[in-house]
Amino acid sequence: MHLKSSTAFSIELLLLLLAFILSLLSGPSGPIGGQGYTADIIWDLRAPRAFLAVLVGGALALAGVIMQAIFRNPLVDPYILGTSSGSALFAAMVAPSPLEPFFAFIGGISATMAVYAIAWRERIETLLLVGLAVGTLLSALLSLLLFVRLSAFSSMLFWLFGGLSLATWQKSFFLVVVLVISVLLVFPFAMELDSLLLGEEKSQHLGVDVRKLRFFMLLVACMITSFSVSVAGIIGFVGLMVPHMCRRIVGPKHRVLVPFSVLAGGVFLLLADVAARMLLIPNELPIGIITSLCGAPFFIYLVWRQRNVKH
Amino acid sequence: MKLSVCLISLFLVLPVVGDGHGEVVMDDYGREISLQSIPQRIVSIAPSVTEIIFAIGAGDKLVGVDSESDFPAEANDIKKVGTYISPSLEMIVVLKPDLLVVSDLTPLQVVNAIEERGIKVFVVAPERIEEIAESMRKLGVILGVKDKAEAAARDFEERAAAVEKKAALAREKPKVYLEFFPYWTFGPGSFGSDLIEKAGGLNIGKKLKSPYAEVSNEFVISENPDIIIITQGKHASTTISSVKERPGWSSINAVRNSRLYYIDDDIISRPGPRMADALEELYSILH
Repeated sequence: MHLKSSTAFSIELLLLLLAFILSLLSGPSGPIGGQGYTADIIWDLRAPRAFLAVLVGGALALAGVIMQAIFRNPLVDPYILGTSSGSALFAAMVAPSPLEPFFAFIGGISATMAVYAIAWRERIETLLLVGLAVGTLLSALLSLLLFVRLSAFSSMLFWLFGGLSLATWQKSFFLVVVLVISVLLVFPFAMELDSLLLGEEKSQHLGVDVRKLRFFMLLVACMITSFSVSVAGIIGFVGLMVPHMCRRIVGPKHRVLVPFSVLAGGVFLLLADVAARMLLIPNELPIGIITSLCGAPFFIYLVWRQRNVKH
Repeated sequence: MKLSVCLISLFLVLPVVGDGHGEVVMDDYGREISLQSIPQRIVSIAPSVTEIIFAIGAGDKLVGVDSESDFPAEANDIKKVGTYISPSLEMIVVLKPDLLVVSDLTPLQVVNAIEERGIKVFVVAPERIEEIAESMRKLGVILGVKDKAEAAARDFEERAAAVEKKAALAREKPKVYLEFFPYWTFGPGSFGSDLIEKAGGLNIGKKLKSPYAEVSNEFVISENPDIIIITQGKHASTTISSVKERPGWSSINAVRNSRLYYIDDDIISRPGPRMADALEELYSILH
């Protein structure tokens, strides 16, 4: 039984607000009233960081929702399909440069299309394996790039670790635009995405041009992913976990699932970012470590459960 | 009373103003840095930079350092701002520094993010041993301690030159394998390799393709070094006895003649004043 969407959204918005406040209060210079804290710290550092966490989390969750619908499988996300690694590699190749988001997009789309072209007619396991292989290959190339271009070593580390510690208002503004446009692009196709769950033939009967829809939606998912990678680096498993949990709470209808997942992604990444900056204070942990620590076991659990359902 | 305070502070400030400030200094990323006044609150985010700042007599101005900065001992009492790869911007901003000094270990994105917050950043990234003295002088100008910096730089250069001179006279150049992590050694273009060459040795790692490179048993055995040096420190755990037991290593000259030594990891890996110590120590090991 799913929650009534008004109840679910109310609870979610409350959680988002609480997580946001928690994020504003957490930092090495202490919560409000703590030692050394000033209003500037909140405004210049914590607030843009909190906003960026909400936006990157929302973006990755949205990409995950789309990909899971297209491939009719809850095991895919932009990290598993190699989109994130492709984006990071291409952005790192030109870094530092204002063209980073553009190159991230080229890299993300190439990686995803390669995986899609190789494996889209195969079983889902093949798709996952190809995606992981391509992702691993691209990460290896990124490491190779680090070795070869040692002078640019340190500026490329950012892409390997990712993180929100360098958040600025400009980055947040950039991602707000991306996220709003993406949601507006996806929302009109909510019904079509729902129909994909019935299977290709049935949705074809309902008058949906499945191939076109798949291609267009995948393009949108790649765009959101690569732009969020270009501002925050590789952050894995958000797009995997969040939509899956949200489907449990509000059901599979995309009209509700899309906005609900976007907000939930925001809550999740806010909390992950608080952990990243507070666990080893004043050292910053890469946020990708936190999300992978949660996400990888979750992935294994999903695989295990799918198997048990089948047998 | 107030007037006299004003006058006294004016006199205190005057020689400072006269100390060439407003001067433009180019940092090691080729960026021109100019400061209106001498910085009084500095944050250093590299252990090598921290050592240089102390060596040129400006250590008392440090209000924050990265978590690896542990030399000299006074550095341990300074507020930590996180790692040099991803320092906490918040800790840095809270300390209200008027200058941040970083090395090339800190990602450019971090440097930019700090500058966007209105804090000047000076990059110290010497690539060769000789450039360390130059770094000292540049920081001396920026930090208003020109004379002490000049003295420290000259001392460094003289000690390095003395070792090189002695090394040039040495009759033979022993082949050296210097390991800073199991099977990792210094290749061409690294400080470790330069140090060995300047101290009168032949670095077998110089044949490798990158400044920091992994090697195989086969490589080391076929190069047959006369001396093996293992680094010791927080990040190094290899022991001489474990190296002797590596497969096939018993045939290596250094092992047969028991010429295996330890050296402090920090002094050969941090491009700071203690590289002169490293040179002297390497020379005494080699000759």
